[in-house]
Amino acid sequence: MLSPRALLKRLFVWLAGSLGRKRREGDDLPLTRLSYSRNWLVNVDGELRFRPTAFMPYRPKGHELELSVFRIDDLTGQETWEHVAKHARRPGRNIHGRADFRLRDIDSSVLGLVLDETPPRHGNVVGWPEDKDGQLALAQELSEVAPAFRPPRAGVAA
Amino acid sequence: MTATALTIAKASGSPWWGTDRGASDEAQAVPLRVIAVAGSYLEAEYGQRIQECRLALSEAVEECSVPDWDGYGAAPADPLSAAWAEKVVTACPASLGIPHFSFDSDGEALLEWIVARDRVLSVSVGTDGELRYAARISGFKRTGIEVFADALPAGLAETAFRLACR
Repeated sequence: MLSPRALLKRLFVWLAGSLGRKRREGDDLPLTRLSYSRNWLVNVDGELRFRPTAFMPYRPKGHELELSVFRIDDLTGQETWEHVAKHARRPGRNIHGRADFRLRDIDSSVLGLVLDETPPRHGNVVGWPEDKDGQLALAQELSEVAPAFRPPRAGVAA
Repeated sequence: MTATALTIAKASGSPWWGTDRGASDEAQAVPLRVIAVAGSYLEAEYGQRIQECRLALSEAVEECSVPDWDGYGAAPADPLSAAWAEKVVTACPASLGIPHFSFDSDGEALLEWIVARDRVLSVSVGTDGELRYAARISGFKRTGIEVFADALPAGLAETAFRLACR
């Protein structure tokens, strides 16, 4: 029989876990981050990666820090390229690569996903720490776990 | 100059480059010449590294000098932060190599050394010389905030040394 104190402790741990899991909705969704800069891609140990700088969040006016991504569940590699070529256009820019990851791949439990579906399949990774050293640490983790790919052609035209 | 004047020391406490026991004036001057040659070599190497760093930094500034250069709404590169970045790199140990220069979405310079997948150091350089950094070095993780003042701050210097040592 558990003491009231032990019961309370268990309840607290369960609540904390539940709240934590809420923040991590979308953990299992495969996501992709796009690079419009050729310099974000780098070969590390023979594998193509995005530099950590490519995973640093930015703060739109009046919003929290966020990292723009697309969910790529149920899409093949080719379909992913077609989707982003259609929906992730930037005037005068090419897409030079994409890096695929799931939030569950990184140790940190602070990041979560908010899907806005504008454009379709678009979302933002949120929950970033305010300190830039903390942001850099998470960006390094994402860079390490996310394999990068070049588009089928030299660049997906914008 | 006599060859014996440059006898390599044998655990006698003499310096590794030999002795200054030569009798002639020329022999006496040999160590100074060796130091002068070595010094000019190191100076040239240091100068070349600094030149390469400046070139890489100016290329990054050029690429990131327009608003939204990254397609995600980044601010243009901040010249003040870039100036601090040059000072920081100049103070870094040469064995660390030349970093990749980039700029964060708020315009601050970002220095990255990627030695291997699990050996990475990223340093964000503030407009007031504040350095915020994160490192992953074979299981060792460190983050920190320090202020640059003509020399690398202790925590970052120790982290850079770890990264440079294989």
